[in-house]
Amino acid sequence: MIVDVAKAVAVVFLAALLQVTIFATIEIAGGTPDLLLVTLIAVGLLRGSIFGAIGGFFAGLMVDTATLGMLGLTSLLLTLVGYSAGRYGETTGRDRTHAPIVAAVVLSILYAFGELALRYLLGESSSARVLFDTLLPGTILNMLLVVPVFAVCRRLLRPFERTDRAREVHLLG
Amino acid sequence: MLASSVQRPASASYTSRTSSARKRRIVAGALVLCSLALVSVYFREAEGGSLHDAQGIGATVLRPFQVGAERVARPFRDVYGYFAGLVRAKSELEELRRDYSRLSQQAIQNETARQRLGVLERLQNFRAPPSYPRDFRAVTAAVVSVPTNPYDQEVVIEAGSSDGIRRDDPVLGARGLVGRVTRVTPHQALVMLLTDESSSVSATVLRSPTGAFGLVEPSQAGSVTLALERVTKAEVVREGAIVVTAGRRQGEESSIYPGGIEIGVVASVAQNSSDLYKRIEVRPFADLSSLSAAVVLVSKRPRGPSPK
Repeated sequence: MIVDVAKAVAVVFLAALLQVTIFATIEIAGGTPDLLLVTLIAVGLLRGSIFGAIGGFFAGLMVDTATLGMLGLTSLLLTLVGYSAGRYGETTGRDRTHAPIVAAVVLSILYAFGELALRYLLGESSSARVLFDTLLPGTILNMLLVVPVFAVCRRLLRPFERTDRAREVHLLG
Repeated sequence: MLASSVQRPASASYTSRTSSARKRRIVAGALVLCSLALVSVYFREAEGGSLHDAQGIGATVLRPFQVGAERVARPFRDVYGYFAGLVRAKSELEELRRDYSRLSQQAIQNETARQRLGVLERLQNFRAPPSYPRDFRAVTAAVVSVPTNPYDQEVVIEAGSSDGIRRDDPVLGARGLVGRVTRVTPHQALVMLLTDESSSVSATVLRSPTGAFGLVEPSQAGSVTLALERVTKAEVVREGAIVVTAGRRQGEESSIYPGGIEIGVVASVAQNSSDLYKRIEVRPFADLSSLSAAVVLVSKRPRGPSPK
């Protein structure tokens, strides 16, 4: 368990570091890939909502600290992303091969809108035009990025224990 | 019976399942509340507050990791930049040859004018404001963190108050003005770029027959171009003219930039009957979207409060 946690912490830390220093500078067709977001989605899907939420909180804290941004803003958004990805992985997304892609698309869009809304509420400079200019390319890049990231995370992190699995069956007929 | 959801008989596991759900909600709720508390306190407290200080310490702790990652990434960036540069090299060479010939002639004229000005200033005992670059010391620093979202137009550089940098110091790129320092920690500084919505620089257009003067502001959110605002229709501004910092105040806008720093080139000029001012688009010299290093101008003169 401890090894598992250490691996997850290392993965999220590395993703946050790479996002702040390298990935944020990459711009393809007007969009920027978000390695940290897709890594949190992968970790949440593989290790559940609690893991996802805690990982999101600390990753956000690290991003806000490294960029000297508003402390807590990214934490809040990434906590919700990690938790949502985890819940999806624990319920309908379990064992579905397309789950990482669906989660990346949906959560990228929700993250972008959530960020805009929060900034608007706090009176920070924000523009819906920027959101609409970057949303589509950014979401596509995240969708492409989540496939290799999820594969790497799955190799590093253990899948769920048998006892964690759902105790509900659905009879088809 | 078929196609219906059936619960397994799990009397013992029901309690553990509900407690697991409760635990999950408590953890998520606590983290959300914690984030909200952080945002609230950070938003309300002054720059010298405890959270800001803690953030500064955290940034110092993360600094070696950021520098390390940046160094690892640099060769890859350089390779990309090399090949991207090759594509543009031929056309740039022709352009630079033309510029060189024109600027050589201009440099001679400028030197003559500078000497004449120096003589006149001495004769009149003229007290000049800090002059760029003579009255400034340059602190060059790597950019260690770039905006992680499209709204923040700020970067973090690898130099801070221990290098003599202070709030509001002007920041330059490889060529041209980049922005100004808005926050300083002992080893890092936050630089607000010209493309930030709250950025405004008093500027003048070189070789404008009427001496056009205005404010350089971001043209639109998310764009890398700038706009020269508040230039009246009577002014004459031509495409291709160079825009530099004016080094003086306009209205309530106190200029913190010394005069004569290049900002960009006029890309387009337009006006219509309903507007009070011209619409001037300025293409910045500095590549604000991919800064890897910045030069902070630290004044050699002691800075006092400006008169109201």
